[in-house]
Amino acid sequence: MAVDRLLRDGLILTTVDRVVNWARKSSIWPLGFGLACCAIEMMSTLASRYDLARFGAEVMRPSPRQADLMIVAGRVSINMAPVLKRLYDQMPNPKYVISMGACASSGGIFRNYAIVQGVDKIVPVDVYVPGCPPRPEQLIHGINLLQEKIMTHRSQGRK
Amino acid sequence: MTVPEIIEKLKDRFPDGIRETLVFRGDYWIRVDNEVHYDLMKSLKEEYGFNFLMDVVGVDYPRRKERIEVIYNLYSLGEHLRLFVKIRAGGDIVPRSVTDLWPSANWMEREVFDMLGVQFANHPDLRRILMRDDFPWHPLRKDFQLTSDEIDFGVPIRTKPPKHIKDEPDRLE
Amino acid sequence: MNNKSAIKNNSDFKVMEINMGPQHPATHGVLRLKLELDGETVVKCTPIIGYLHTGIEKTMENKTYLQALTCTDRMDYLGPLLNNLGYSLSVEKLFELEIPPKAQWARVILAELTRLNSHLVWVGTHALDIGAMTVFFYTFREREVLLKLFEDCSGQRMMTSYIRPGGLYYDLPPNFEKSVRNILNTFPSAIDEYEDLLTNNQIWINRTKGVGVITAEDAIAYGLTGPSLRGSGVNYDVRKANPYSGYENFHFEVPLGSNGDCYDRYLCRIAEMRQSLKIIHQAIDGLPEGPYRSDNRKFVLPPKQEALTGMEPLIHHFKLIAHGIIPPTKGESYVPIESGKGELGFYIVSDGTNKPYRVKVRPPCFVNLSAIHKMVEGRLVADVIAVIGSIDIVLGEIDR
Repeated sequence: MAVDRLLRDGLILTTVDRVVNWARKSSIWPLGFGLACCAIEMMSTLASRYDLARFGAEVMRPSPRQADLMIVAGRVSINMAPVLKRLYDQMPNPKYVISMGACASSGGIFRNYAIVQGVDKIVPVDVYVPGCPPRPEQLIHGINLLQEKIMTHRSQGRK
Repeated sequence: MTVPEIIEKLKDRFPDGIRETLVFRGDYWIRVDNEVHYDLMKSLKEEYGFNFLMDVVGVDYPRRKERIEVIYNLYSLGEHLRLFVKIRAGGDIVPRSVTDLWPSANWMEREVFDMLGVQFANHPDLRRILMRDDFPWHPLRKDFQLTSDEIDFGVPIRTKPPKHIKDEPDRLE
Repeated sequence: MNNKSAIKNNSDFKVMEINMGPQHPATHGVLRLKLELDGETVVKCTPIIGYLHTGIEKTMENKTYLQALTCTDRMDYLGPLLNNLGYSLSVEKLFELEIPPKAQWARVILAELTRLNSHLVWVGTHALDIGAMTVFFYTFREREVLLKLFEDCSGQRMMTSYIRPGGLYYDLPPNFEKSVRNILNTFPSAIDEYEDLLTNNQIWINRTKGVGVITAEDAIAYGLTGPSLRGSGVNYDVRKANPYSGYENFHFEVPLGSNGDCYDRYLCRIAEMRQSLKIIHQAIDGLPEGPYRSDNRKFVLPPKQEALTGMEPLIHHFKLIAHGIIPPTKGESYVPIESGKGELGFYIVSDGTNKPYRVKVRPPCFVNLSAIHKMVEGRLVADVIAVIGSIDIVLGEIDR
């Protein structure tokens, strides 16, 4: 058949979704958004030993308009909550959120008047990374999970 | 000159101003009246070389009439001495700010105002510093509860007023 | 300041207000600065803080003395062991606890390693902000070695809670001495490497020399401590002035700057790293044998074996777990220590119960930041970045 011959010559059959998802997951651009202790571990993840570039997610963007992943690294105070929401709103779609650490996920050890008890009260969270602070491996695992999630995205019909 | 000598000299100078002296684990505290507070701080800085204001601490004692105790942590770089000056504030008593003596007092007194609601006279910029401007309470007062109801996004301020602890026995007095 | 009044008088000029932060890659967290600019010149700089206000002081009032220790880790998260040390010393002063020599020596080693850790992150991020990215990767390479050691000791990389009231949480790991000696062997050349990259680098000098100058008088008036004060030539180091935890036994120098600019503060910190290594060297050579925590059963948990076999240790264990440690008397205590940023102290008010009545932190970063307008006003807006980096702020400690 003609298709067989084309395939032998290097043609690949795939779906648009797969290609788009593959491209998206392979170059996640996180927003450089450090809040507290976890931000230091996030920097460790980017730096020499753990080298997040291996997973294509090392380009920290200072501007939310160029980013598609927000890593909420640290506790969110009630003063910071409106700022965080605004930053999230400024990010273009599709956008993802990783809640890094116990404080961002649930308030952590700070159950008090100043801390938002879980960033999911403000923005939708895709991956929760536990730990106080999580080890860099855990954050990398979280990003891998997010990449798997991105691969399941469908542009039409079932999501 | 050692700290006890300085305290003796201050007692001569301000005989009615110094209400109390306290020695605990090698540190010295004096409690002064609001009337002499500013003059005493000024003489400590200018005559006794306490050129460093390390910290301003506020402690809330809800049973007292002057409920907030403000503690100035003074340090002398030349002689390496430390002296704590206490003053009771709240109620009618408004201590005078020492920002013009030590500029570092600016933020520290703002923090005490923010957290405990102490007013300072003559302060150049007495605004909230850690909490947002429209936060209605002073979090470090003892009648302010640690935890709160869940905060809704959009109005991230709690609406429930703090519970008063009048019924509880005072732990201190 | 003259600059500002000149502009207000002349109606042709307009001051532009710009907002920097709280989300900004070079503000080391969530610092927000309101800058009033005349062209590129900063006329007025107003820091706005509180975006990371965690209520740590209030939380500590509601925890027992040992539980409150965990909160101290999360303040200055670049120097958690220094915070542990400061808090433990204050609590021990209040409780009149004696600490065995081995614990004191180990505390000194760990505190100095933490200072190295703090300065490593500082030099990496400071250089990154100004545009020298390589240093960041180098310093984080060395930092992993330190974190590995902390993890060996406590099981956690950053939030160690390892230094506790009464001594240490657990005995030093068997490979402790070897790891520390390894660090002592590798670090001097690593610091040389950073210096090769920066100290004589013309771009670095142009960006930092003469930038962010604060005079010694201003530095004292604004209460600056730590390298920010010593960069201006004022010799005040708590380790020398009020030695704690056995620092009087060690020989080291206090590096001083002279100009009070960003470059001098940089040199001070680099020299301080070398002095830290010197202290660690002496401490590891003289590390005494013995118990790693006090054996005062009123305040320190008995060993598990004793608690399982003896009646009295069991009662102590029960009391300590159920009530926490209870101070012998009402009172107030304050012990200053030299953290990576300056004088850190915990002012603890006790009412004789198992919870502190009030804990007030003397945060060095908070006070150092309050003088930032003195350093940036009249300078270019790009210098603000260099100044923020050079005073080494950690927002977790500023906002608490």
